[in-house]
Amino acid sequence: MKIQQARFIAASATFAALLFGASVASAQTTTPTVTCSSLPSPVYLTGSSALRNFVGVVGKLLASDAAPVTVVYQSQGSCVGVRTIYEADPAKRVIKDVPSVGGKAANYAIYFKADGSAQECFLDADGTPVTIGISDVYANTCGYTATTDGSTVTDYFGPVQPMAFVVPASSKQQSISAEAAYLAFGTGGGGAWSDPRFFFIRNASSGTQQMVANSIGVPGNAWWGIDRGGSSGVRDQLKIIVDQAQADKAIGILSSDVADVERANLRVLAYQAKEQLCGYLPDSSATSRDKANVRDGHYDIWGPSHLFARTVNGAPSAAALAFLSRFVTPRVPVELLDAEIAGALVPQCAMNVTRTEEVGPMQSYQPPYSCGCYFDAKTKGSNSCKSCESSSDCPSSAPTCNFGYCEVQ
Amino acid sequence: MNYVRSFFATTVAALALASAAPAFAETPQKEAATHFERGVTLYGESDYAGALVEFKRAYEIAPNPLALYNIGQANFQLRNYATALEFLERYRDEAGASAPHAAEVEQSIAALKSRVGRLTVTANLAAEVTMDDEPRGKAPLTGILVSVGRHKLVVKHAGSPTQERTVEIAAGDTRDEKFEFVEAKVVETPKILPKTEEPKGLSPVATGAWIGAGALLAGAVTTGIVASGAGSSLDDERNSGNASRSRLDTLHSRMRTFAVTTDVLGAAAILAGGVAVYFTFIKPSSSSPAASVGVAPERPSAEGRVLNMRPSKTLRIAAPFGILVFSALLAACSVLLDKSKEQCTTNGECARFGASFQCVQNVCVNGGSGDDGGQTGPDGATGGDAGSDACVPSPKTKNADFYNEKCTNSSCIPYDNCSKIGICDGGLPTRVTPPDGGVR
Repeated sequence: MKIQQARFIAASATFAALLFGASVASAQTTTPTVTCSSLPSPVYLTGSSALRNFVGVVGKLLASDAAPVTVVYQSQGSCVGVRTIYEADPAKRVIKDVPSVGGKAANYAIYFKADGSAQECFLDADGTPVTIGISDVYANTCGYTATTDGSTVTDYFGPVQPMAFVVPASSKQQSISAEAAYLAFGTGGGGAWSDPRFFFIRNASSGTQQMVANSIGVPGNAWWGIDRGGSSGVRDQLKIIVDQAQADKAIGILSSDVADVERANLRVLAYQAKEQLCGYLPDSSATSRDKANVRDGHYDIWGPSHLFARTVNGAPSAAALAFLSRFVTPRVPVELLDAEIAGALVPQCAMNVTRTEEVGPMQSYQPPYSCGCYFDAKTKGSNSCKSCESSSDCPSSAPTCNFGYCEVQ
Repeated sequence: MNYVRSFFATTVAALALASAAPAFAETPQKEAATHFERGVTLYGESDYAGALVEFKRAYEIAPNPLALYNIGQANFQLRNYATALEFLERYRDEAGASAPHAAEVEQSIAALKSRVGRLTVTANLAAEVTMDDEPRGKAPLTGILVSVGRHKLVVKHAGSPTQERTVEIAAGDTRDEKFEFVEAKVVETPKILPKTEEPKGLSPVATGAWIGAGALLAGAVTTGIVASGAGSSLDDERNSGNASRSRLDTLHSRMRTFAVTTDVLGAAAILAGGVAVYFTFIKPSSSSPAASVGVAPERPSAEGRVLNMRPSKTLRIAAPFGILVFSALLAACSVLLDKSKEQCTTNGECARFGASFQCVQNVCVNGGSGDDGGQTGPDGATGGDAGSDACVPSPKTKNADFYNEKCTNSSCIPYDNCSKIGICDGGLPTRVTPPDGGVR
């Protein structure tokens, strides 16, 4: 009886969460005690909530430098990150504190410390100009193709971010096709997913939603379902569902780095794109973390993360460069590589395919400074590559020693 | 197409079967799983006839209803509608209503029933019935399922001329075919007269040795032909711009296996021939003078006399010598068929297929990289020594090529649009705007 009662209570709580899901903010924060501008060399970023972990890793590294740089980040949708760089009106290129109002949780900026922890800080009362806008999607996906004030914006590519359909771990669903997702999110239901109250979605500003939208053919601003406010909202509300009937009809979208840390509670669905004969997970299996199918193109919903900055004569501001310098080099520092891999992201140097449009055509890709072998070693514990200390240890077939392994280049 | 797609579901089952096999540690199950997987691969390559053989073998070794499903689907693809119907009905009966693809199977069965007719074959005398070169049993055969189309019906009664007809079966037909034979006259067997001379034959050892040599030689010829065929296929693959590492390896392995088998059989034939020559010519037994060479040296004629089957002296010398030389050639099959499994060693050797072809893992790949075999592993990771068993991804020009690349270690979970959401032809319903407009 105890078990049944517990399930009943949990199910009731879940249903309440489903009904009021929209009121739960994604980036719930507590009231700050310091001002962001008082921190050492602050760099202000905003945009994708899915890239929060990645930004935190870089923030930790920069805070640990001899001349520390403080990464200040406010979690919002990807398109907000794009907008705050592209907009001509300076008043629209700022971020502001979002105190708690009514039932809506606060969303203050946070900054990252050298120990990896994060803490809230106050932005300027009139708003603080954004240094770098971060996004899961291309600017044109958010409706921006160029600035209207003649300024130049450069899109710097970060690690690759896969997006995924997720269901509660107790759900019986294992895979989904683009057509099934179209029916659910584009018409209000179909197949196992027929009740939009159980669709855990985001909104048109979400890079996650925009990227998935491109793959399933439903515009990002016309989805059926309930906006859960952010990736953490989707995650937190979806994973508490324990009732079998509810679990079977619940579905959400998340970036795979968020989903990966919740594997005990959430299941990533294998995705079968249009014209694909079988569904694939981002990883080679449900228990691996090798992102093999993202890296070779078997999995469709992925794209590079984007870091937008205004540039003059091709160069970003000094503050932006402090952050971007970690990426604008073919050879990514190994500590950042480790952090990206640990964060369930795929460094560009480990990719074997590339694309230049949102979930667009793929091409085979040979990175200029490959780290595929290193990535395999880190994610699978082994690889089929020859280890090396220098390129002289490598055969002519894989003549370059990168990160301790012989690579093609 | 939905048949093909649903077929992937059984791929998963096959893998499950394969992975389950070690747990049971039973060789037959592993073997069955291997045949099953091979069948799935062949099916995916549209080699339905080959797939059918593999599925049948899998089912013979380990009767699993999934194999029945696949046998039915392969027959469907081969347009053997009657057989497909038979197997899918068996699958339905054995696997039950809750089995995978149950709904689809019912649809298939319904479709197949509109592609078969029934045929009854009767004969006034005991007769063997063959249809389309497949033995179907003895007449009368009542109401056998037959696919629509033209069929060759052959009915044989011992002692009478064989009768052959072409019958046309349309969907839903019920046809009766009657055959009339005339009883053959009984011919009295001539009495065998006493022989004036005891037939001269070979000693049992010599006879056995000649029979053994002949059998081994026949086996060597057979395997040699197969090896030669595999060698030709390997040549074709090496001269193809669509060659793959896995196919080259498979064909080379097949050629080598049969060539070595031919070597062994040829060598054994030489040994047996040598023994036969020794006991025939050098040390014949007292009861068998060195005289006749032949497997069946003597038999009575219709007139009751003994026919002497002994060949001429020249033939008696030339035949063993020829057999031994021929056997020696077969014993060297693997040397004579020493074909490389590599398509290239440098990019220059791939230029014959086009400027964009490069030598990757000793295979010419369109748009590949590396000049001397830069490895591409099964998961697409590059670098290192991938080993000879690594497959080479096929050239790609569109996303579907990446999606459906078979060169992967990843497992996949199919989503059957037809059975799950009723979208069988790819057409999608019109999008519906949510009540709030969707803009949030």
